[in-house]
Amino acid sequence: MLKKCILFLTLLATATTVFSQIKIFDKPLSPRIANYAMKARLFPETKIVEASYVLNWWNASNDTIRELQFHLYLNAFKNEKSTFIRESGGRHRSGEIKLEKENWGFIDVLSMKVLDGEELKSKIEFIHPDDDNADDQTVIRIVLSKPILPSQSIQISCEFRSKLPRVYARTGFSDDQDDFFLVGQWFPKIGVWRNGAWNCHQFHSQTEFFADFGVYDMELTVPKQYIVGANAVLVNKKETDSLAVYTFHQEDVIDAVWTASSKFTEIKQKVTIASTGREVEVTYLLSPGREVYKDRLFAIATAMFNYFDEWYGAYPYPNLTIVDPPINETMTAGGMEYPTLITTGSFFSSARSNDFLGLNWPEVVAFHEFAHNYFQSMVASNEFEEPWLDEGFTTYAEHRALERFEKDGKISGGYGNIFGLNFSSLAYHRLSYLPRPKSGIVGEKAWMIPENFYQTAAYSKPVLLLTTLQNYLGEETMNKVMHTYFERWKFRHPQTKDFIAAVNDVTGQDFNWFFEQFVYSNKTVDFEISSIRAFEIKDQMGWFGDTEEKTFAEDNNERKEDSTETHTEKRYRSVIFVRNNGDAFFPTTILIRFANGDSVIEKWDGKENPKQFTYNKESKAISACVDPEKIIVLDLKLSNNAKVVDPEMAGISRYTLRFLFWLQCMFQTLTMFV
Amino acid sequence: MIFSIFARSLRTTLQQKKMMSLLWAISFLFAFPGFWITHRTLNSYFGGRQVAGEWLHQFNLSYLLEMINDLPSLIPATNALFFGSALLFLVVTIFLTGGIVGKLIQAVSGDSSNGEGFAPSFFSLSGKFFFRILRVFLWTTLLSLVSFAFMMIGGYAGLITAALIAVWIMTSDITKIRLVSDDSGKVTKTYFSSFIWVMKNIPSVALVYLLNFFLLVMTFALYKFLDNALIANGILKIFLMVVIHQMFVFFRGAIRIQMFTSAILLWHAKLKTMASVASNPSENLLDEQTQPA
Ligand SMILES: [Zn+2]
Repeated sequence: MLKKCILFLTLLATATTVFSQIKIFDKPLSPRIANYAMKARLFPETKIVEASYVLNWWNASNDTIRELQFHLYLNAFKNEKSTFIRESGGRHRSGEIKLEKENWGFIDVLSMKVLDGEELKSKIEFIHPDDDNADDQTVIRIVLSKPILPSQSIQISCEFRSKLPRVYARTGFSDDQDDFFLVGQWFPKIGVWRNGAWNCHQFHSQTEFFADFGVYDMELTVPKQYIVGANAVLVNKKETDSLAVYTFHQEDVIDAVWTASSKFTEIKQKVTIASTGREVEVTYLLSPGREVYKDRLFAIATAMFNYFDEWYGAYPYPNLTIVDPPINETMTAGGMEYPTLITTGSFFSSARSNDFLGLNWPEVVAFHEFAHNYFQSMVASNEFEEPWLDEGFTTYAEHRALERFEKDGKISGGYGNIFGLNFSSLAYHRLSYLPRPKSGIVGEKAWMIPENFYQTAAYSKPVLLLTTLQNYLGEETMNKVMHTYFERWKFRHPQTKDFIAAVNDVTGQDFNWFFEQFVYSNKTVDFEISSIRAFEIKDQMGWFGDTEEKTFAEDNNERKEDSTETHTEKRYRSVIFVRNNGDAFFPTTILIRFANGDSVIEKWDGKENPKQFTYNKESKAISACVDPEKIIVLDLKLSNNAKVVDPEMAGISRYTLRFLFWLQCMFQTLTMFV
Repeated sequence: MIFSIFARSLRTTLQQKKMMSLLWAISFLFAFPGFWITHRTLNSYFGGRQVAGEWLHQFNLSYLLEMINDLPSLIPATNALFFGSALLFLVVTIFLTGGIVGKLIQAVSGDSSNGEGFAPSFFSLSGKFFFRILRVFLWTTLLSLVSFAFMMIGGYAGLITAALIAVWIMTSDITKIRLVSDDSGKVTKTYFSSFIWVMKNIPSVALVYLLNFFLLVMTFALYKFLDNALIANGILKIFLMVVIHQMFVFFRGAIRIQMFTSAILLWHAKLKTMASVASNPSENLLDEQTQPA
């Protein structure tokens, strides 16, 4: 095997790695700072990728750059001393790194030099900018003897060997029977030069990847029986007796990933985006047993291109690859986003268990990962520094897509319809937020967010606050905001302030109060109708009228108990108290209904707290509801938002009686063996 | 032969109205505390709120989650209540099984006129066989748990688990019938000889159980159809929903009885013998006398 590798390396060295002549976009969509022409060959038996590249990197800043920094992500899986393993305890989702020798992964830089110039390999130095872990080898620094001047380019050639880990955190190989490889974060990847310094963080367990845009050419060699997919357009495929060589090309993306398996079922489908009539070629690579999801994936793909086009903007690429990993790797390789390549999956190893339980996991995962093509891949915010802009916007898009998909009748429930109970994605995110509303701040840097709040800060609270904003602005305005943000910041690196600017510019109002309270602080809202009372007003005695024809009113003061009938001669005083138990303010409305069918909508700026509303009318108030349109889904308790004088409790019996039935059924099942 | 046994057993089962009612009543009784506490908690938590009115039209999980979030002791308390009542229910069911099998054997042999009322003989049979049936239950549970090992392998090995569990259920039913009809105390020996008997007669035993299983599936399908068709958004409709639910529970209990009845008939038919029931079941339910079927 080693001989083979050496032979291949010599081949690589002699072959010139060239940038392809193919063009996808007439005009570059991005600054194209980091461009790679790569050659790689997969050796499935040893789980090794032997590869080389030529990197063409451009200094887009006004700085003179004296050193380079690269990520060596795969070294996160090298040993237990890496920051990634230390932080994660060797776990990622349900995956766990197992101790066998071949399960660990690493990357070795075999040679590196400035093309036709300085040798760099000997200058490589491991650094650990984020922590004091000197054993972490996921970032390297190379001090150049000749600095890179503003606007100048540098071409670097590099040979490297990537030993893939057993996939447990979304890159690597699977069990032999599945024969599946997901080759991600597999090459020395240059950091981002930003604000006069390298932004090149170590590989942490919680965060993902930040990179510059560029053009990628990949020539991938695999044993012939393997089917290869990549986040790029397939340009050419050549076969020899035993090998297949795939050539891929992609423009204006931030990463390169590929997958190979001898077990894939490959399906291609053209999806038309209705607004422009443009077609995207979708390639499905389905692992054994996952073909049953084919039709669901088709429906998802068709919907998502159109939804996202309507809500955010055009998907510019001609391709998307959807990989459904092997059943056993659902949690380890599934649910990963790369530009124009996503991996899906469903929670359960059995394809049918989803249907049985009524879960919509394939939809949840696919919408989520595709949304990352917008938030992270195109709008390339820094997940490490502002995780909510990436995962939060993505999860909000996922939530919105699920709601629309349900409205379109394609699924039942958001996350699922579990034995008849609609488990909406909003309920899920509230479940994450409600127990810990004060535990952390959304707009915080990733490493500053308490671990027990990370999920809430990066995913769930952003869904709630962006949905609240959408409800408050209306769908149309929200779409304008999102389009503006997307158009301004696609292929660039925005920050939260840039999104706020988009909101303020589109609405013509100052929304800083909103972001100050819900992104940059842990303030909460909890509206409550604390009381609603109505009683008959005692008739006023004496003479009434201005003219000589006065009328005399006698004492008629016996109060009638609780009659909701309206008597023309009777008047009622209704008093409603509304309060906000939280410390954030939010302008809202209150809907009051009266027994005679009248209703009143009151505005409340939310600042005077609590607030009282009093009515003298011929009819009693029977119900009061604060935020009746359910705009503020950030509200910590929605159940206290409405109060009625005469509550209809049958709705509770409907479910508790069903619960009784469930208990009986469970008991009967339990005694099956008796 | 199997189909006539099935038809005969159905007729016999349908005559066991007291037994069916009893099974339904205990399921109701034991589930009731869990229901009542949940019902009271929800009513007091959402009292005066509009939630219940909204739920009448559409369930909103968010409200329930708020309550659970607010009352952190609710879930552990409900769990304790549930497991407590489930355990009691299990014990009571094991207790009643002796009576069920004994009375069914009497009914099948056509001897139900033994002078006593239903209750005294039923409960004395229950008491007499309680510990034996408990041991049968423990065997079945143990063997079923062991059978789950196949499920760990994954793939189609799960089917082996299902098949094995079915075999243990059949074996345990035959064992109970033999223990009661022979008034034998040799639980373990009877269990394993019943297992051999089941395996020897697997086509007919499996067919009888499949027919019963089919009956259960049909009952479930009918329940599911009615339950789906009914949107319980008013008092009357909620009442109808409860009727549908309770009918299903009732018939599910009845099918359990039917499984015993058909197994008894099958056992007797295979032996070509039929036990004669002693006149005083509390003393000696079945003697060793046998007569041709
Ligand atoms: Zn994500």
